[in-house]
Amino acid sequence: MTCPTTEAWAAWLDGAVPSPGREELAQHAAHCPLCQATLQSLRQVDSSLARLRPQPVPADVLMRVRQSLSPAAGHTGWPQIMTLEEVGRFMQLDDRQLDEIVEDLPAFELAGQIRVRYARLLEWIAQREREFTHQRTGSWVGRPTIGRDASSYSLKFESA
Amino acid sequence: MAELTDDDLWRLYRQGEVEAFEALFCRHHTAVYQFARTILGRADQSEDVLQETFLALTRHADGYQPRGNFRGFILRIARNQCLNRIAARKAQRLALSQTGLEWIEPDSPEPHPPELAERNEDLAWIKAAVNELPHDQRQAIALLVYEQMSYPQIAELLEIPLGTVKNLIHRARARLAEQWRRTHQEK
Ligand SMILES: [Zn+2]
Repeated sequence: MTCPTTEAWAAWLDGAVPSPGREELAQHAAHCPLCQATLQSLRQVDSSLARLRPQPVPADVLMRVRQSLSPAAGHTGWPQIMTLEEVGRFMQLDDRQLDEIVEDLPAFELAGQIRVRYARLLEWIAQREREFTHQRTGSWVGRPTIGRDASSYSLKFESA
Repeated sequence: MAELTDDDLWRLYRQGEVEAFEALFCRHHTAVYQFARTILGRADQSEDVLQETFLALTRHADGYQPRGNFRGFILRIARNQCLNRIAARKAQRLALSQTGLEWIEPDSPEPHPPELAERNEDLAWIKAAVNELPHDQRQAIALLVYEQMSYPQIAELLEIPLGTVKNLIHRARARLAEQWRRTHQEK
């Protein structure tokens, strides 16, 4: 038997060679010093590969990327100016439910169309949250979770 | 938010919680950067890929369907970003060759000098050797070793048959082993 290629040995180590080829290769390996050396180098490479770990992103790179992402992240994929249909999807309301609250929405008219500013919508939701908490508890200990203006959102920098 | 899944975080982000986006960034930025670094070699372009990949998430927020594979989704975006840059390099090189000027940037990634902190010589060697593998082998090996993906997962992400993945990995390991022998016999 002529010596198998290094690639064949790599497949063999991987358990990817079916019988009877697998056994033939095992026999060859037992008697061929050349292929033993090949196998040794493959095992060496495999154990080194197994120890590779992703390197941390350099701090200056991380800082620049976070800075450039910060305003975009605030958009959360929703446009700054939303249509009623988008408001409905955002708040998970169907058309009929949306009709019930459309009067209360912080909306404005533009070329005959109703539009809502995303940031104002978040404020409006926060206001309703506070009112709801007040109704239930009779106090103002509510937690305004998304009461901040969306434009003031910024990504926090990792201290580590 | 540590106990939330990626999909939970994604839903929160879509509902307006920007902190959830930051949490996703914290979880996945190292993988995206490492992948780009291995594929592209160049640090400046890898930084661009990291940035563009997460920007793409904010632009096409409807693109991800939460099915428990956010990492795969984001690495696929990163991979496309890398491929775009490789294509741009090739186009640039072609344009230059037509003007008769010489292309100065090497096709293979810049060789990484073993870092000072890198105590382990073997580890530094294998990292540099991986970075010099042919492109398709490098992609497969990067997902195997850095992401610890299974062969079927790699096949899915790279959109190639399972047999091709195995083939690429075997060829890559064989190539590395032969190189290892050459380097270590010289010593
Ligand atoms: Zn032999």
